[in-house]
Amino acid sequence: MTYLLLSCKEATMMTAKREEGKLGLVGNTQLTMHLAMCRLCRRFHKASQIISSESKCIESTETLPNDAKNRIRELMNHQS
Amino acid sequence: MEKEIQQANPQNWLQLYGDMLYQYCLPRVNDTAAAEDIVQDTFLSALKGIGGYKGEASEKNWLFAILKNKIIDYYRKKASQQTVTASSVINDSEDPWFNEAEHWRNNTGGGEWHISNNETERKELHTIINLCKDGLKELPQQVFTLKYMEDLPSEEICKVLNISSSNYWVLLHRARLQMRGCVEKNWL
Repeated sequence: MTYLLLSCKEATMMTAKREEGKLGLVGNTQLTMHLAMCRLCRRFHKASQIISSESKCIESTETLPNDAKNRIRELMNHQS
Repeated sequence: MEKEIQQANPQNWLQLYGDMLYQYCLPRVNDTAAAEDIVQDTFLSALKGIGGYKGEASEKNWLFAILKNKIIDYYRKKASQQTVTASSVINDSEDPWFNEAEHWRNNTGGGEWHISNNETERKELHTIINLCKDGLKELPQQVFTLKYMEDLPSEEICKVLNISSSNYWVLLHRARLQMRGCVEKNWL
């Protein structure tokens, strides 16, 4: 039975693989079992999911500097 | 009112999308000069390929698709000049998160996270994530950016960064652990 048990290190790495559908049936079962038993890995998994989904919406508040705008405008006029 | 077929309108691009593209690009390359160049390249490539614009995607989405490709090109080029190897990054340190039995070390377990619906709080979280990302070492940072900010599949990231799949998973694992720790420390 012990071969079915994952360490926390393995389990956290496998959560990333699962997000990409890269775990087989055995891996998925092992991970589900581990997460059901391990609060620390559940917390990590949740935190990682939040970081993952929020990272996609990150934008800077800075604007394109004016000299860059002028340069790009000139290049575009030149090309068209 | 008659709806016109969408046509590309390059005179307005800079004004309409210049800042938007830059604001997307800058946190993903973390270098103002590089971000300016990528936006410039995006507009010039778009202008060159304007005959291929069918009006199927909105002009904005079309430009963003070009921008995202340019960002990938930027990382591909960076990887080809990179002197740090993935294996040296992976072997350089002992594990601060897990003990010999591969269980969480004390104080590395972290707390319960909840996602906020408050826009200001989310913006704050974004700022913290971005700062933490900038604090990652070069390779884990690139892996993190391409995976979590750009949402590329792992196979493509391996190709772009020229790393093996097993190194990719280790680098991503490191990046996730470090990011969680850093964000948690800085998030009020």
